[in-house]
Parts: sequence; C-alpha cells; structure tokens
Amino acid sequence: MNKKPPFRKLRGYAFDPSLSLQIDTALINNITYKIPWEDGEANGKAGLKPGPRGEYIEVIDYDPTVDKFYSPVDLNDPYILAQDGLEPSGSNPQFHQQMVYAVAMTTIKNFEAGLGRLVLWSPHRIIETNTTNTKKNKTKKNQPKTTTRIKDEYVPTLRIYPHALRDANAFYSPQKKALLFGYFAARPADIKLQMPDNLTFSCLSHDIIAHETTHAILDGLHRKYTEDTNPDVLAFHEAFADIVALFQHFTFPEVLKNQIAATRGNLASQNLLGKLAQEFGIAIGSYGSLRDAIGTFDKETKEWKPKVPTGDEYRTLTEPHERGSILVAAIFEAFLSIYKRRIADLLRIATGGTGVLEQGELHPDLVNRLAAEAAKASRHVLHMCIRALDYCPPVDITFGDFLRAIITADVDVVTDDDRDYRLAFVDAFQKRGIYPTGIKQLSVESLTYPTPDTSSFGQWFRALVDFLRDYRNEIIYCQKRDEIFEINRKYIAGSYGSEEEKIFGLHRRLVAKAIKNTLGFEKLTGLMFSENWKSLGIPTSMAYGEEGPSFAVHSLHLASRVGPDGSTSNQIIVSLTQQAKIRIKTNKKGETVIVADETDEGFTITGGCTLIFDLDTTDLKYAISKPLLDIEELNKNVRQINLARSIVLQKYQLGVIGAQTRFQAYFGTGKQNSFNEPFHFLHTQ
Amino acid sequence: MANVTKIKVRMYRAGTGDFFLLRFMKGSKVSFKMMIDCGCIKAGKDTFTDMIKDLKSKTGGVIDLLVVTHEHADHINGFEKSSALLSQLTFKKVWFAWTEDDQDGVANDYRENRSELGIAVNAAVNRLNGLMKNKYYESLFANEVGGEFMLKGKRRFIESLNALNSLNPPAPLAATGTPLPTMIEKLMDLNIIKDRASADCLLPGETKTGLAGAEGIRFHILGPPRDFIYLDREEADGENFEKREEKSKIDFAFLSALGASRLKNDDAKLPFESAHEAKSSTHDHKIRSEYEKGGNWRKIDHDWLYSAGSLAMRYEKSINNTSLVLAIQFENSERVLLFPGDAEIGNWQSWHKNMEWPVKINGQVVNKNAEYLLNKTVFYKVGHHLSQNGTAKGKGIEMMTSGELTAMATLDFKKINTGWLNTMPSDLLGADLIRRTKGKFYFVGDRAKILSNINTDRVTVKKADEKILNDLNKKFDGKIYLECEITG
Repeated sequence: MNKKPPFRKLRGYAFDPSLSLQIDTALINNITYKIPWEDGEANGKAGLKPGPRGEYIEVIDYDPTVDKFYSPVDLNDPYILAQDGLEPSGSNPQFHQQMVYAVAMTTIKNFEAGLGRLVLWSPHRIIETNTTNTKKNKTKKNQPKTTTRIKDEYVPTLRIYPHALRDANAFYSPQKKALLFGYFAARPADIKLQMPDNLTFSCLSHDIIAHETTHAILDGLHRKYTEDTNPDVLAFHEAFADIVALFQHFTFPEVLKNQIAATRGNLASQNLLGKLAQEFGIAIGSYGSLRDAIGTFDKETKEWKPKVPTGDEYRTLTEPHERGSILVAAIFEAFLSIYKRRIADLLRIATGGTGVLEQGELHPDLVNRLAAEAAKASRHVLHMCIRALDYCPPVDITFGDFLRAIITADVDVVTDDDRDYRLAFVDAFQKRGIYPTGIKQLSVESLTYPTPDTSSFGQWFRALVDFLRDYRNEIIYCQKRDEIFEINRKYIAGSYGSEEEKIFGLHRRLVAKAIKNTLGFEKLTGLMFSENWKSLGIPTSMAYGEEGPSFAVHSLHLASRVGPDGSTSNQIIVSLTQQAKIRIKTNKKGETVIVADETDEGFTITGGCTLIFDLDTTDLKYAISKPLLDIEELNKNVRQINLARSIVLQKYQLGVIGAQTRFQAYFGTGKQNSFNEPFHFLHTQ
Repeated sequence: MANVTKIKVRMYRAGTGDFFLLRFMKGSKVSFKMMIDCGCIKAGKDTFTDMIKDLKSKTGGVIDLLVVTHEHADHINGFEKSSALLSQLTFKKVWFAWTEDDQDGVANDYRENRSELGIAVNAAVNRLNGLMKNKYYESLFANEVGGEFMLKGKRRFIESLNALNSLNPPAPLAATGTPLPTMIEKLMDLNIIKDRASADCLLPGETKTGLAGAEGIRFHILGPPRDFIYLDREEADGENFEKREEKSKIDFAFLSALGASRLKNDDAKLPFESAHEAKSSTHDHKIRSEYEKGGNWRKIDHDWLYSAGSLAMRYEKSINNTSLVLAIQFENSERVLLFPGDAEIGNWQSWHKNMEWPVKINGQVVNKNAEYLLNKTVFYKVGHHLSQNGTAKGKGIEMMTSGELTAMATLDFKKINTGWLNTMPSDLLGADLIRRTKGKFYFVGDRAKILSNINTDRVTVKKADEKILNDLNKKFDGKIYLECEITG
C-alpha cells in the first residue's frame, strides 16, 4: 500500500502573468505551489473533483457575460498530475481554474497555521418559516400558526468564479459566499509598460486571489465586520486582506532569495515583496502596482520613492482601501524593524563586525541566511496578526482595537518578548497616529487587556465554565469542518431532541434568571441582561417561552495554541452581540438624550463583547467589549444606552454626505445598509 | 456704435435644468437677445410652454444667438418637448461646441465612442429593468436575512441607473461604427434650426466679437477641450490618465459582451477559444448542474451587469465635459459673465493649459489667460446644478475673487434625478458661493430646502448673507423666472 502524498504540486504565478514577460522576473515568477493533498473522487470520500472542487472551495467556471461554461480542470488526470499541473497560460481557462485553486488553498492553509483551527465560511443566514396545524379542519381557534426563525445554514465550500465579470475588479460576496473575478481590456498609461487592450485576468493574480480569499476567511470569523459602523471597519477588512497577500510573498523561497539578493538585504527599498497587484495596477493606468506597502510612485518624476508617514493619514483618509493601507504600512514596518533586528548579527558576522556591507553582490550563503530570517520574521508577524483576530471585539473594530488585540494575544502566547516584537508594533502604529481609545498612557502593559474579576458572579458563572469545558471536550479532537459547525451550533442554541441528548445551549444559560440583574456581568460585557430593556430600545426575545432582552451568542470556538517555548494554551472564545434601535434627540431641558425608536427614523446601534476563557485556569481571562450600555452610568447602577458611542455612530452613518464617493452618492443606500457587496478590490469611482 | 451697458440674465424655473434668456441692453433698449439651453429633469409636455411664451414676448420672437451647451436632457429636452413653439421663433445664430461638428474627425471619433457607451448602458439598463419587472430580486431575497436591505439596494441601483440613462441621448439599436447624429442635425429635424449655415461649432481659444447688437462684448470660448485626456477626466486626481497615448478609451471587453462595440472582433467577445468551452461530456455536464445545484442565491447570472453603474457615471461625466463654456466679457470694464454649462473638472483644468484669449485693456488688445477671466468674473452660472464636480476649486471658484460676484444655480429638489439628491448641492461649494456673492445667489427651486442642505455641520453661513439671499429670491416667488442685472 502506497502512502498518500502530503502535497499536490501545482504550477502557477508567484505574482501575475506580467512578471513572466519581464526578463529579470520571469524565472522567479513561475513557481510550484504545494497544496495539501485532497483525494480523488474514486475514494468515495469528499475528494478533489473536476472544477477543481474540494473540501474548502469549488471553482465553477461560468462566464455569464457570454453564457458559457468552460471545461473544468481535473487535477487528478494522470497527465496533469505527472507535470505538476497545467503549464501557466493566459489563454487556457483550465489553468486559470488551477491558479485560483492553488492560491486560495495556500491562503487558507497559511491562515489555519496561524489561527490554530480550521477555517469555516460564514453561514448562509435564512429565515425559516414553519407552519403548524395544516389539518383540513380549521376552526376559528385552530388557525394555522406561522412562526419564523433565523437559521444559519452551513456552507461547506466557498465558490470561486474565475470569469464572472467584465470589469477591472474582483470581489468577495458575503451574500453568495463566492469570489467573483473580472477580466478586462488593459488601458495602460504608457504603452511601454503594457500592451494596450491586452486582456487582463484578475484571477491570474496571486495577490488578488489571496486578498479576496482572506475577505472570505475574515467574514467567517467576524461576520459583523461587513457593517460600516466607523471609518476603520471596512478599511480593516481591506488591510487584513492585503496583509495576508503580502506576507504570502515571503513563503515563496525563490522569490524571497531573489529579492534579498536584489535589494542586498534591505527590504525597505523598492522590491516585489511589498507590492500588490502589479499587472492590474498598470492595466488600469497607474505607473506601478496597485498598492505598495512601503513606497509610491512620484506623480511628477514617475519614480518610486519610499512612503514616509506624516501622522496625518489616519485623520484624513477615509476611503477603505486608502485607509486600510495605513494599517498595512504599519504592520509592514513592524515586520521590517523585526527583520532588521534579526539580521543585525548576521550582517556583523559577514562584515567583520562593521555591519556595513561591501559593494557588489551578497554571498549566496548570506542571502540564504537573510532569507531564512525574513521568512521567519514574516511568519511571526503574520501569525501575530491572525491570532489577534480572536482578541477583537465582535463589532465596530478600530485599528486601535487591533493593536491591543495583537499585543494581548502575543502576551498570552509568548511569555518572553526578548526580541521586542511588541514594541515594534507599538512604534509603527504610533508613527501613524493610531492610538486605541480608553487607555491612559501608551505602553505594552497598558495595551494588554486586563483580566476581569469574576469572583462576585456566583454559582451560575462556575456552571457556565463547566459547560464550556464540556464543549471543549467534545470539540477538541474533531477535525471535520461540518461537525465542528454542528457542535458549535449545538452548544450555542442547545439541542432539544431526545432526553439523553438534551443540552441547554449557551444562549439559554445566559437568559436564565440567575444572571439577570448581575450588574457585574453587565459592566463586563456592556450588554443588557436586566428588566427594563424595552425602554432602551432593545428588542424583546420570546425564546424559551419567556420575555427577555434579545441578544445573540454570535460565535463560540476553541483556540488551541502552542507558544515558541512549547507552552500550550486552550481558550474558549465566546462573542455576544446585542442591538438597540434608538434616536438621539434634544429634550426640553436642552440636553442630548437617547430614546427608543423602532420606526424608520431610528437607527440601530450594536454592542458586543468577546469573552476569552482560559480553560487551564478555569476562568475568564479577558472581556473585550464595545459596550451598548454606558459603563460609567452602570457603575452608578443606572442602565442607559451609551450616548457617546451613539453620537459617533450616528454622525458617521447618517452625517457627512461629502465623505461619500460620487458612486456611493448615486447608487448607494447609505452606510446602514451593509448588504450590498462592500468588498470590491478596486473601489468604484 | 454705442456699446452694451448691461445684461439682464433671466433664469427660467423649469426645474433642475438650464433655460436662460440674456438681454443685452444699451441704456434702456434691448439690443441683443441670447438664449442658452432649454431643458430640465423630468420635463413634461407643457413644462416649458409658459416660459417660451414669456421668452417670445420679451424678444419679439427673434433670438440673435442660441447657445446649446451639451447633449444632456436637462439642457436640451425642451427643444423636443416644445418644438412646435420654438420652431415659430427665429434663431439668427446657433452655437455649439466643436464636438457637434460632423466634419471634425476628432469629434466624430468621440461621438462614435459615445454611441458605444450609450448602447452598452442602455442594454444593461434594459436587462436589469426586465429583472425588476419580473420580481426576480423579490424572489431571490425572499428568505434571506437582511433581504429587505438587499432588495432596497438593488432597487436604488437600478433606479439611479435609469435616471442616468434617461439623461443621455437615445442610444442607437446597435453599434454601427458610425458616430451618433449631432445636435445640429437634431435641431434641424425639429425645424428649430432652419438654415444649416446659421449653426457654428466653436473651438476652445476662440473669441467672437462684433456681433450686431452686441457691440462692446467679447465672447470667449473656454471649453470643451480638444484633448481626450481632459474629456475623460472627472476627478481632480487624474494623475493616472496623464500620459495615455493609445486609442482605447473604453474597455471593449464589457462593451462587446453587450453588443455595443464597433470592433466586430470575436476575440473581444469571447476570451477563450471555443475548444475550452464545456461539452456535454460527463465532467463538463456536471459543472453545469453543480452551478445550478447550489441554489439561486449563489448564482452570478446578472452581477456583471452592475458594472454598467460606473460606466453610466463615466458617460454622464464625459458628456458634461463636452459643455461649451462661454465667458461673456464687457470690453470696457473687463467684467465677465461665466456660463460653463455642466463642465466638470477636466474641462475646467483644460482652460489653464497654454490657452489665452484676446481682451481689450485700455484700448489695447492683449492676450490673457483663464485665471484673469476668472478674476474678472462678476456673474457665475453655477456648473452642474451646484454639485461638487461642476465647479473646480483651486482652478475655479478660488480664482473668482471679484467682490461683486452674483451666482445663479439651476437646482430644484422637486425635479431632480434620484442619484443627484445626494450630490447636490455640495455644502462646501454652496457655502463658499454664498460667502463670495454675499448673498447675491439665486436658485431655481425652493431656497429653504436648498439652504438647509447647504447648512451642514462643517460649514458656516453668515446670517446677514442668508438674509440678502432670501430677500433677493423672494421677489420672484410665484414667478416662472428669476432675474438679475449685470452692469458693464
């Protein structure tokens, strides 16, 4: 019996087709992706079928613009297997299918390595209608009853449509759980840069595929980040997608070595690694790549120059991609300073202690060593960013929240920060004027979230922790994505089948009487669990036959992590959200107050809290909250909606018209409507 | 011969759209009558009837000069709707921009492009309207959480696309490789222009003088630019398009899929050779059923049509940029009345690129640039209904430094495009104009509504200016026009 191969090798572009046409990059641009082996259909299991269609993704090559399907590639075809996949080619749609599969799978696997668990796509949320009593004899009393409830349907695969649009764009659709890629005729600014009218396929760009796949992964982790509640939320989505795409460049050894050699180890100078979507950028009329983490093309001289942060960007840029690039630049700079630290000794060794390199090319051994350090540093930085996602609030994220999440997550896993990684992040954020709110001074210690005191919570809280422990025991060895989804659902919503399987879900446990009026828990989460919710505009839930304030257990999962010193941590992460429909008005005394308002005049504010339980110490470790309630008032035992947050939210969502693009003004339905494709690769003008 | 001493500018209240009568006076006698545009959004059959009667009575039915700025419904639909009335008038001379000249290769090329854009937008609009009519979206989103928001979004998109499309000249049925007909041809068909020779197409940089009855007046032509670069440009940061040297101005890939490309090239229509298309073999067959199997909510049959949104916007802007821009100048006082049609940023910027116009200073003819003309501007017909894009900032409004500025804006919330509601008025521009005119600012529509839209958190409007504005506009309440006098 032969052993199953660990990888399937697939040829593809490291960047995009344009680099294969340039003499100095052609060699490194054609690489072989190693994708975890998915079995063929013959095995009876869910394997890799023609499409390719596998466990995580299904590529369906339908071109609606001409109503044609293109033949799906069968990656298990012996001819294709024997030559590491199809040869890179712009004119063969089957290679396009192979390319999107290879890059999307690479992105998913890199993400899982950082996340410490399997990637799940965001569920398809539908309204399920149940009609009871369908008997023919309908008396007055016996009318059929129709009840509706929201159901989260499991979505096993992300769909990828490589040729879905004829437009210089591509996007992840949260509604369709699909990536749509466009193709278009190039319109370069300078015919020396590209052939005009050249058909350009966004599905052949590593960066665009990785970017869009990351949008989908992030949506699976944080469903509410599609809601445009402050200038940072959508920008964060864009930034994160760019960060993952950028750092993936460092996982291609040949590319990395080539660029280390070309820049003589100085990755802060112009290089391919820090650039995104080069062919695309030129095809729509720019002078270089669409985005660049470290530099930009000078408008006048058309020459590349490094970008120097002014500290103003965070206050002035509002378009999500532009604003996101501030965060990308900050993260990339943190990486560069970590990298520089890591190679300082190597440079000294190589230069007899001076650290100043001689003229000419670097020694290949030195290139290899520098590349190894760059790969390691980039992996560390990327994993820090990915881990931090579990430490973010479930709604309304800001860049400052993300910084705190990075630092806290790192403190949890890496006890001894002997290389000052955390400082590198704090410094890079500070240079761009990005500060979290709610801390009194800036330091690694103050950025780390404090551990809350739960000693006053009483017995229900202990029971809750025990319940989470059961959850851990059931899910810890589960490696099937659909089962994980079902277990999560069971522990959130409960299971009310036969007696032995009966489980009261997490949601029901939080509604239970015991926790009502637990001021301490409300202070912690910023959410309302007491009577009187109606007057605050919080909807009523009739779940479990009793009135109560509506709230949602937004997500539940287990994160297992191993630190660099071998220490392991098992954490359960629970996120809760709650909404209120309100209006801000001026009362008779001239004070600004909040009133409940369910009409169209009102607007929705969402509060949320991420609770992180450490199962080794059996307690709540962090509560990361975007409070719906005013915490200061809560300290005085008064429950009211957080006015400051409401004002900021309203001002942002309903306020300034000028902050819209003309496209949004013409076609949009406002920031409160988050259901209309927020993730175009290129913002629409 | 005596010179013109003042100009009475009458702005008719059709709605959001331009319709102007200018009477050039020598003392108390009208010596020259000029009409600019005739159109408005959502115009009905009788929208213009009373106004044209007024025009006729004020001019005796003889107009010395008609100016048609550009081919958008809100500037020209009156000619068609009221052709019976207008064809009774005499237009001695009619001016158009050079883009209407069918003898001009560049103009023909440009109108040919526009014909492609028009067909594409129209085709996409028709398909989307069909979906709306068949309640496609209602059933698609019926069970989705947030379905009502999704539906609202699609409704709004399609509605706005329709509004933009209705602004455009009617598209031909199919791409023919021939340019769209010019407006000269259209006005001749309507019998408004009776003699082809009375129509002139003007180039930027030209200056017309010595028109009988308009002695002492210079008509400087500022736009539209000859260069496609500027016609295409709509946003201020047009750095991306500076050095385009090639012919393609539009993405033919999208156009050809809608049957709108004049390039009858199958390579463009089909991105791949037919050998790659799925056959009815097992695998190939399966992929089709896989596509269907996932349910309608995952399908992408129509999403590509939404690209028509940005295309329609581009089309709107590019026609706006073909606006004929006139600076009417009193020779003696050098004072200027600026009528930019709906020119957008590209058009404005082009005036500042190596262009000069002959003006008279102390009896001497000297060449002066656009900055000078803007400095001398005492009357400004606000571009593009007070939107942010219709008035350049640094190269426009900020150069209008005369202390005696008067402005008129053809904006009316009662008759306006859905998409425009959010862009007009620009609060920043509106507040700046109120400040620069010290309240000498006239609106076609309800001023209270417009003022409340200008008065946002980020601007300040002086109470004193606002009062002057209200007083001046109030005089014309209930009338079909507003009027101001600009002395020379």
